[in-house]
Parts: sequence; C-alpha cells; structure tokens
Amino acid sequence: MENEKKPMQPQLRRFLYQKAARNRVPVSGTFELTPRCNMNCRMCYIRMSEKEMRARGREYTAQEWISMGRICREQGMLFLLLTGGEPFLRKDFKEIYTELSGMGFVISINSNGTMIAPETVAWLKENPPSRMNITLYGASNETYERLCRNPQGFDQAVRAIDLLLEAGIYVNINATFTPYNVSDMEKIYAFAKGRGLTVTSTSYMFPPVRSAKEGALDETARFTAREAGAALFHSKKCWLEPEAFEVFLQRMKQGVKPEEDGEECSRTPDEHMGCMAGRSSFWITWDGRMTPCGMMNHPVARPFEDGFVPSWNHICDRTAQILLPAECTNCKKRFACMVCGALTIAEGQGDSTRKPAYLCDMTDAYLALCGQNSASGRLCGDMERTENGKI
Amino acid sequence: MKIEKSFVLREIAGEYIIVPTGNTALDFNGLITVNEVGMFLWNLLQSEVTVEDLIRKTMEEYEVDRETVKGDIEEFLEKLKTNGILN
Repeated sequence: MENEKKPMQPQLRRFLYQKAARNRVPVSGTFELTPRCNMNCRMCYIRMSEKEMRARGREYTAQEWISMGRICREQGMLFLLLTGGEPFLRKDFKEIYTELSGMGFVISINSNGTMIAPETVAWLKENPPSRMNITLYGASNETYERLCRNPQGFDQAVRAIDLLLEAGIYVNINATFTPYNVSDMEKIYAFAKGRGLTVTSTSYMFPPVRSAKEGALDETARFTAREAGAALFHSKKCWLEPEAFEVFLQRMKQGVKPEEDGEECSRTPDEHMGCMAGRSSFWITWDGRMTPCGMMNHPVARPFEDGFVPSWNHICDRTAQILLPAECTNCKKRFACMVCGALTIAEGQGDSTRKPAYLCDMTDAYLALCGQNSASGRLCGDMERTENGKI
Repeated sequence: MKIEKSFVLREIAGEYIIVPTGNTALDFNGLITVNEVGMFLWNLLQSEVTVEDLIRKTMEEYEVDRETVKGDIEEFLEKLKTNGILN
C-alpha cells in the first residue's frame, strides 16, 4: 500500500510564506477547533476536560469557524491546519471541514486517528485533505496505555491510517517522543516506512505555558535536555537510509543544515521570531484568541470580536518586536538548533531575550552524537529507555 | 480539450495559484502557479477549446506573434497533460 500522492512543492510553499511575510499576508493559519480530546496524554499542552473547558470559555460554533474561514480566504490564507484537542471529537466537524474545503485552501488535519471510522473516511474522500497528520504515540497498545491512557489506541490509530491510505488520502505520521514512548522509536519509523509514510517528529517538549493545569504538567513526560538531543539524533538515524544518513552526518559536521529533515516548523535565520509565525502565519485557539503560533500566549488578539484584519495587524506589529537572545543570533550551532521566539519566551518565562539553556544543552548533545557516529552503526539499536528515562 | 477536474484559482500575495478541490486532490495533490498569460489560458480551458482557439485568442489579447505564442502554449499544455490535469 504505497502512499505516493504526497503534497508537492515544498520550495513553492517556502516561497509563498516568504513573499507573504514581505506583504503581511496571512498565508497560513491554524484553527484549533477544540481543547477536548478522547485521550489524555501525559505531555499534552492543550487537552482539557469538558469541565475545565467550560471554566475557561466556550468553543466557537461551526458557523463562526466557517465565517472566519471566508474572512481568512479574503485576506489571502492558502494553507489551513485544523487541529485540537481531537477535531473529530466535535460532532459538527464534518460540517466545518466540508464548508472550509470548498473555499480553495490546502488543508491539513491533525488527529490521533482513534475516532476515524470507515464512514468518516467515506465523507473525507469526497473532499480529501491535502494531508492527514496522524500522531502515532507508540508502537503498541501498551505504550498507548502508558502515555495516553488508551489501551486500544494503537490498534485504533493503525486502522485509521490503513483506511485513509486505502481511500487514497495522503497520510503523514506525527511523532512526539517522550521518556514514555522513546523505546518505540525504531518501530514507529519502521511502521511509517513499511507503509510509505513521511514522519514529522519532535523530541523537544515546550514548558507547559498553555496547560489547563496552570503550568503544571507531568514532569516525567519531558526529557532532560541531553536526552532530548539524543532522541533527536536517533530519530534522524531511524528515518534516513544508511547512505543518506552518512550525507546528513557530513553536512552536520560541516555546519550546514540538511534540507527537509522532518521538523515540525521551518526556521528562518533572523534575529526576531526565527520562523514565519506572526509574519505570514497565525493560530486561532479554541477559545478565539489569535497568537503567532500555538505555543504562545502573547501577543494575543481577538479576531472573532475585534475583526480579523486589526487582529492580524496587531499580531504582526507585536511579533516584529520580539527579539531572540543575542547569544542565539550569533551562535555557530544555530544551523542545528530549533530556537525560535515561541521557544525562548516559553523557556525564558516570558523573556524572549534570555538564553534558553535547555536548548543549548539539547543542541550540544545532538551535535556531539552527530560528530561521533557513523551510518555503519546499528539502526537505533543503541538507544533504549531505562527505568529512569535515560536513553 | 478542457480541464475536467475541479480547481479554484486564487491570487495569493501577488501570485496566481491554482488549488485542487473536491476529490481532484486524490489525483493531483499539489499547487499550480501561473503567470497572467497562464491564468488567461486556464480560464479558456474551462470550456472545450482547440490549440488553435488558444493561439488565436492569446494573439488577440496580448498582441504577440504566432510563433512565440504557439511555443509557450504547447509547453503549458504539456505540463498540464503530464500532471493528468488535461484530458
């Protein structure tokens, strides 16, 4: 079962993002439709119960999101990510999706896959998204139970992936590695390769700036910085074929960032945000707040109440004032680092100019492994999670 | 010939972008960028036309010579055929 119809033209996408940024066009947006989820992952930064959600606000209605889509279209949005929580948990998700899909967007959907049944795929197939991002949290039901508290999660996600592939819908695997599932890394990549799927992964976990528990999160779900760097390295090793991995190592030793390496966001080498957030892309949270990206609480605007255009202008103006730490802008290791404004603000407890020590240690560990290893080693075999979460 | 599949033409940040809609994305999961002449041709191809129709109408619209137009149009049509967009 090959998944050959992958979305094309990453260079065109980058070109459009950059041109849009020069003209302040919001070419890319995320609609976070709900904070609710049928799973309860230990590291999740958004998930709320119905009760927690009601204490904080309300979900916007289908018609409100559809109207927002029309306005975004007028303003030049082309790329749209629908996410949650779990978007398929909304009873009106089909209505929202179907209306938005007719507006001429390139739509991606983030889902855990556990609620995607044959009838779901049947209506998705009529207006297929450009890309379904299914998060794979592990390679067994046991890992899903440990991390997501769902003992059938793996079987459910695999069934969804296979249904989507049979329907000809492009599937990308999202993977977030934590101490709870890092021992499944090799199997997750093998699963993806076996079905011809791409993988977007991360081993970096943001401090819980958006957590429903007022900043408190399961501490054991976050790697130490050095573990995160090691997990990042091993994810490259699992993904790349031996020859490509050798090229990757050579480029890293030369201080050159390899192309298209399956990261969550595209970084830019500027001294402000370090990515396109708040320049040509935005995020609207489930409770109607516009921010540059989903990992930020500020700057913030209220597009449903105050209008999209004033909100977008506010986000652009305020984002342009964000400065990365001086140490980062001149750092020789930046090519290997995932630093951005959202990350330095989260790590610096609100101060974007504070050097993110966690990230420095993570990048050091990552580069040290790149310098020490060769492709002739075992595929991911030298990484295991131990009782204390070390890898 | 004509474009049978379902697309939406968008202008994004000064670029003309053609986006597949409906189940067209099952066959063509990408974007097409065109210049102004490409957009003109794309609009003509929404109805049944011949290559000769395209050449004549483009010459009328842009006041250019036949040889230049013919080569550009054939190249454009070939790209559409390669991507399975044109029958």
